[in-house]
Amino acid sequence: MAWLHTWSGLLLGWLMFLIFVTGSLSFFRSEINFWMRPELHRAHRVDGGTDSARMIAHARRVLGQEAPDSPQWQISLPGPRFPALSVSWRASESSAASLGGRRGHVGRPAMKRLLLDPSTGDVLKARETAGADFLFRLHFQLYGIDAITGRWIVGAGTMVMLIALISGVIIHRNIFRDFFTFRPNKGKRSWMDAHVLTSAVSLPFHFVIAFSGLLLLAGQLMWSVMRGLYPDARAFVIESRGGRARFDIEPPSGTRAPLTDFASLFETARQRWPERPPDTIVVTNPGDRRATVEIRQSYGGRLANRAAPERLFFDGVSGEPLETPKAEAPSAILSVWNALTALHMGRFATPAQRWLLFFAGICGAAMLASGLALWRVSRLGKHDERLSGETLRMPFGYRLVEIFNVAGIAGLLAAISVYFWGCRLLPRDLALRVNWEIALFFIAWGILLFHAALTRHLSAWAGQLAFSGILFAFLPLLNGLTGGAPLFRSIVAGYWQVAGFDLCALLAGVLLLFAAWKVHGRAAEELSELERPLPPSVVEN
Amino acid sequence: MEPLILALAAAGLGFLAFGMERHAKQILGKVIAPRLQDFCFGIGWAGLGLTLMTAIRAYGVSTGIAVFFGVAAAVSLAFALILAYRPRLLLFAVPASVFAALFVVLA
Repeated sequence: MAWLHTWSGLLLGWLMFLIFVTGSLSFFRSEINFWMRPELHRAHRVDGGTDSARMIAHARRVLGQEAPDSPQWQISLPGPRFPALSVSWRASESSAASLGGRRGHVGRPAMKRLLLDPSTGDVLKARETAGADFLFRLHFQLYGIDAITGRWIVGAGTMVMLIALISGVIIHRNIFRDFFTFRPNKGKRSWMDAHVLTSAVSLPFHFVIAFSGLLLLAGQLMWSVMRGLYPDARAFVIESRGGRARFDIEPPSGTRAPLTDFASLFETARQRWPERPPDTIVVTNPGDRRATVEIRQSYGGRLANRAAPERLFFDGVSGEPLETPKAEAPSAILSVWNALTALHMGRFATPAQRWLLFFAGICGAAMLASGLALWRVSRLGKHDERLSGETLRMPFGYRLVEIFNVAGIAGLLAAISVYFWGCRLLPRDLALRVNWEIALFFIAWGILLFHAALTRHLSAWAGQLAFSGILFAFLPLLNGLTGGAPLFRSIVAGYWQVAGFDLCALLAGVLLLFAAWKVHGRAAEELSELERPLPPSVVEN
Repeated sequence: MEPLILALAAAGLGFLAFGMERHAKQILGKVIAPRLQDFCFGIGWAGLGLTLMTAIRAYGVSTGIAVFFGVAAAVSLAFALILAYRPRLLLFAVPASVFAALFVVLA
């Protein structure tokens, strides 16, 4: 069993570390996306409750100018996760056809989107960036290969991770006896403690996130089952995203009629759901006799219906309430599917709950990193480079693990920090800017892999940890210098969407520098050990 | 609701730590009597049960269970670090969390 755990963990540890780190960051996808567009930081901040009428008026004005003929408008008010006002609209059928018929994923014309300053209603022109969406996609379909192949690799890694988790619980079955054990500065024992502790404290999370991750990829991994049951693949997507009742939209009548004042309808909805206030307005057939207005929350709080939001419908001309379609109660199987997938994606989460998910994800990353380090530490001392005998020289595979450990753990973190720097430093009007950002991430990672291969193991660790630490620690400064809201000002103003990112980057930087300093000390020790002559007993062998 | 969940989880996990041989030695310098150990375990598990119930009452069954495990994970890791570097701090942290929980309930 230990054999199974060791080798399955080693083979997929680096892949799973990548998935855990980028996946954990994806819990804050909105916030990171916002940070990566410093042009948006200048938007005035408003209190979503009291200023909603003014914001709705701005949104309505912009939509009326930009998309008077659109079949559907959507207004998303700024919220705790994304402080800009967003308006989007579906291109009208005729213009969609003239654009070459580019369509959204449900076969309807794609949405266009503009971001507005919630206070003035001015359109905010943000830079093009791959944003946190790159990290998010990386965590389930990798990059540079066909998305389906990427998902297969991620799915296979996740399945092996479930095996490693179960075998891990069996071989470390004493984890619950002295549950809170961590013994620092004791070499291999400390690594073992760290590995067991980070696995044990959030063991339920690790199981659920791996299993629900597999469920989310089920359409690919078990495609023959899906094809058998759902001849039309779209039906599967619709049913698996269920929990929301269909509201049949009537086609436009062709008669024009003025749109009702939906700011007051929004106010009604806001008083109805004080716990989770609404933040989205969808207007269908604006300007037509058959216009409808839908007002909804971004997410609800119940997982069994996939955190489906509460919704209210109104007649878009008279403002009279329409009957809200009742969602069918999900079947037991669908409830399980909904709960697990909604949990994986943090759909329900309030800020505090989001932090808990992020924390559990980081524990998972730490479990993988300490497990990988443990593989090396366990074999330490068996191979000594002062010996030249065939049996005792360090095998190539062993060195390979060392290299991948440095590049896969410290190198990945450094590449992510380089990615954030690239987002801010690449020229704003660079052609294919998004591709450059991503290229920078992989170029940095590739160079770090070479560095790891060419440098003594512990020095490579210290160097790459220090490099990423410095880059992370200076991100708040870079943010202030490249147009974002500077840290001191964002803290004073309570602008936590921006300050939160900066503070986390600073904390990550300090922790990485601390780790680099610890490893550096250890590397110096190891070097001085190497300079000592071997004890005679070993030489004779 | 969140402060109460946090305080209950800290109290429950703290009592469990007192009931575990190695951790009792770390905090008090000695192992406590077996009957006292059982008592600590009882209180500890009861505390965790209360935490779970509070979380479910606050957020509903599905989200409540998730919140419970998340809070328990965060507190456990914090306790492990406290036990490694400042074990006697737990001597104060556990009664403090009991009082904090009582305060939230009564206030």
